[in-house]
Amino acid sequence: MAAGGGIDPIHQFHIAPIVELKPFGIDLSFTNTSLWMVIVLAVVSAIMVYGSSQRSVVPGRLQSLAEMAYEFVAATMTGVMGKDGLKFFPFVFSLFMFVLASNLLGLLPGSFTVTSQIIVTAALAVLVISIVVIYGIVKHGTHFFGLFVPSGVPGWLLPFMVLIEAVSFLSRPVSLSLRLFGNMLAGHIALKVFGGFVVVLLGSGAVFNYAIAPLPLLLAVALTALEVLVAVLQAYVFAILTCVYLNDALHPGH
Amino acid sequence: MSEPDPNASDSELRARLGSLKSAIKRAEESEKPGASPVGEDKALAGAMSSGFRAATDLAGGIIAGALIGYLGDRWLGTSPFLLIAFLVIGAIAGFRSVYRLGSRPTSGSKGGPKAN
Repeated sequence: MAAGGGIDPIHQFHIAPIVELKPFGIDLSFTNTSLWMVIVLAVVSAIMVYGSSQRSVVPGRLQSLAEMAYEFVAATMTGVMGKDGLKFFPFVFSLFMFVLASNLLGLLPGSFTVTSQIIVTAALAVLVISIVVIYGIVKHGTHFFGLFVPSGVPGWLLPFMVLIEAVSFLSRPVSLSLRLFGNMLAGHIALKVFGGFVVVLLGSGAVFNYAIAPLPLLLAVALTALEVLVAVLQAYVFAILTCVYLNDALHPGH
Repeated sequence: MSEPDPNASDSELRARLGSLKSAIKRAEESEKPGASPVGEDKALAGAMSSGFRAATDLAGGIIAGALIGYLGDRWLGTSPFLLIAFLVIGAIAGFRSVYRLGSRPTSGSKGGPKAN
C-alpha cells in the first residue's frame, strides 16, 4: 500500500526473504522468488512425470497436455533448425516449460511472477547465449566467427559491418531478456492499476463513482484474457528465439 | 478396385501416385530447416512474435550499445566519446536486426538471405 491510501502497483514485485541465509557475507536468502521457482519446477515436473507415466493409447487430460507440449516444441525446433537441432531438445523444452509455467502461474491472484524479475530473464538469456557461443566455438572453431561477416558487402565497408554485427550479436541477450521481463512487468502493472481503480471508485462513497466502477472491472477482465495470451506467446517467442540463436551455432556462416 | 478397364485403373493409380507425391513433399517441407510451421494459430503466433521481436530488437540494440559504450568509457577513461559512438552503432545494429527480420524469406527457401 502506498502512502496516499491507494494501491501500489509495484508492490507485487517486491522480493522478500523467507529464510535469511548469509554465509560468508553472500546473500543466499530463500526469497519469495526462490519459493515460486520451486513451485514452478514442481508443477512442471508433476505434469510431465504424471502425464508420461500412464502411456495409454488414448491419452487422458494430463497425458495429452504433456504430449502436446512435447510435439509443439519438437515441431518448432525442427521448423527452425531442422532434424539435427533436436539434440538441444531437453534444453529448449526445459526453458519453454519453465517460462510458460512461471508466466501462467504468475497470473493466479496472490502469486508471484518469477519472469517479471529482470535478473531471472537475464540469467536465462545469458545461459542461452553462452551455450550458443560455447557450442559454436567448440563445434566450428574460428569458423563460428564467420557469423559476424555478412556476405556481399564491399571491402571498405566490411570493418564497420563486422562491428555492427558484433554489437547486434551482443544485443541479443539484452533484447531476449528485456522482451519477457517487459511484457510480464507491464501486464501485471496494468492489471493492478485497473483493479485498483475499481477499489478506489467503490471506496470513494460518491454515487456517480459506483455507477462507473464496473468499467475498469470490464477492462481488467479483458486484460486478464490478453495476459493469458501474452504469457503463452512470450514463452513461445523465448523458445523460438532460442532455436534461432542455436541455429546460428549449428550452421554458422550461411 | 479390381476393375478390368485399363484406363480407369491407370487414372486411379495416377491419382494415388499424385497424392503420395504431395504427401512426401509436405513431409520433406516440414523437415527442412527454416520451414514455417503450419497452421493458422501458428501463423498468428508467428506474426505476433515477429512484432514483439521487432520492437525489442530495436530497443535491445540501443541499450546494448549504450552499455558497451559506458563500460568502455569507464575502462579507458574516454568519457563520453565511446558512449556516443556506441549509441549510434547500437542504434544501427538495432535497425539492422529489424531490417533482417523484415527481409527474411517467409517460406523454407534456402537461397535467400540468412533468416535471423
